[in-house]
Amino acid sequence: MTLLEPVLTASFEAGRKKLLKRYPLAESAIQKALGILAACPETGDAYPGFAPAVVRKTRLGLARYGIGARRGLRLLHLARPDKGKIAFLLIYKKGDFKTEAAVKASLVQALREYLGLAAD
Amino acid sequence: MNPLIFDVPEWADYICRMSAVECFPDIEPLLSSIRLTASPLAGGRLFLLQVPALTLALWRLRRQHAASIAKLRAMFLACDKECADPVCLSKVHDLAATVLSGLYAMPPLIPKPFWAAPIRRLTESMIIEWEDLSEDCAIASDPDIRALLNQVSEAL
Repeated sequence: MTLLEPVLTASFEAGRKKLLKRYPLAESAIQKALGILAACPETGDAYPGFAPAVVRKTRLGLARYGIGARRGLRLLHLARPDKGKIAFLLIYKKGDFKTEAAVKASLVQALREYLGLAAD
Repeated sequence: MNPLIFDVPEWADYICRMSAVECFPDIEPLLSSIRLTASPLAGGRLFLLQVPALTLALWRLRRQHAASIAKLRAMFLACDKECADPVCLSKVHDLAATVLSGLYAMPPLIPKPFWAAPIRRLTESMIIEWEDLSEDCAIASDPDIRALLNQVSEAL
């Protein structure tokens, strides 16, 4: 089993920081999930049509807070197994974004930020 | 290329129609049952009969919804490698929006007392599953996001 090299976008880091303020005990669950996704990027619900990239959304429960996967965290990642890399794009809790448009706007911001960094 | 997906024209339409057939017929009777349970006339006498019946009906409905969502997600997975056209995603998004508009009508009707908790939980779990599917379709069918994701994929 090969581990993909993780790339954490600025939006992902910001989202994680925000979540850890509210759920400090979630750190271990998030770390564990990142490890699992780096080892097995084809985990989660698929977004079709991005081959050879793998774009997926994983649902993550926070057992220490009694929050199941359904109401838990959502973790969006894009992996390129052929390049050996995985980018974690967005992390948020179910219900943090009131509308789909807000999730989309946040994702667009994350992607633009990443592309800005890559262009530099 | 997966023959199951691509040999059937309008496969996405077919899946959507089947999902709709499985999901819709039960919603109207359920809504009227919930209204009846919530009414002060029925609440005192009938809830002992209504709540288990409603819970059972909603549990059955949730299983049907879960099966429909699983089918749609299986379709996404099957065409993951081939599909570069998000048309089916838009159709599924429309379907999810229709199902959600039906489901959103339920929570305000559910009575507040503790005995209605199973009904509330089942309804909320169905709403969350459909919201997730709808959100996934909204993201994956957005041309701007697709273009950006492809750029990030190249830049990675």
